Amino acid sequence: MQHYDVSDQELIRLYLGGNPASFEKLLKRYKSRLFASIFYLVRDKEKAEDVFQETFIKIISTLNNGGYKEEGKFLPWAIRIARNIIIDNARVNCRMPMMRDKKENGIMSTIRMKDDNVETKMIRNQTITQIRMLIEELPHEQREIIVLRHYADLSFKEIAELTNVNINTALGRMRYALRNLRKLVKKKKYSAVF
Amino acid sequence: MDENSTHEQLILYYFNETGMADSVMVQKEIDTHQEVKEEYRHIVEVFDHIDKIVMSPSEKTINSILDYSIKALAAGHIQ
Repeated sequence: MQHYDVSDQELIRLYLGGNPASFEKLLKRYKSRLFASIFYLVRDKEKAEDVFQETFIKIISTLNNGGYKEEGKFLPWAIRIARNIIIDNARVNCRMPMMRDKKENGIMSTIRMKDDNVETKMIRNQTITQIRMLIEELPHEQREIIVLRHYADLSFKEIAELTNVNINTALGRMRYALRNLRKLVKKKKYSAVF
Repeated sequence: MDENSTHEQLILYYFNETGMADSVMVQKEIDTHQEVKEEYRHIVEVFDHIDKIVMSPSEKTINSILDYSIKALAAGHIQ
């Protein structure tokens, strides 16, 4: 869990007091974790952009209408909104969000490389491709637990509340996800990844 | 501890979700038992690799959201 000098609650208070820069700071604080979580759940960049934007429009509306009550829990709240939007969209489309992403909208076009070295980039590309494939092959509940714990940085207690299961079930899903990742590595004979 | 609860304790330990007493116990298990040490190494390696992935929404999306946040503030409330 990360800690900040200015709390989420304080940023929200400043924003509602007329300081839009405080909202920008809040958005930039969580954009990567929220976007990565959404992306891994919908597995399509364009859809992730839409859900991300829709999530923040809902957040802004709720804040301005005085509907935000969850002090100190902004990210779990934001992820709950995003998750509900994804579920609603899936219901409209009469299917769960399990579609294969188009190549141009997949994770490779979304990831930002931090290293300038060409060789490092190539190795990283290979590793990321392998991880992407492995995570995508996990059952939805196991993929979700990795996304929510690792990318969204929610605690297992928060994940349990969000997904309406008890904490032991959430931990069990993570245990199975790790076990399945290991099986997939062996099955595909990957060497670059664990 | 049985195998499953050990693995779950290792997961909690990795994510700093164990209390002080449990942390000491888990670390002792890692130090004492080779198979527990291997399990923990596996957890660390999985998440170390996933850690290298950084994603962000497009600037266009960010700017649209920020524009909306300013308009909403100016309007006082959203209908």
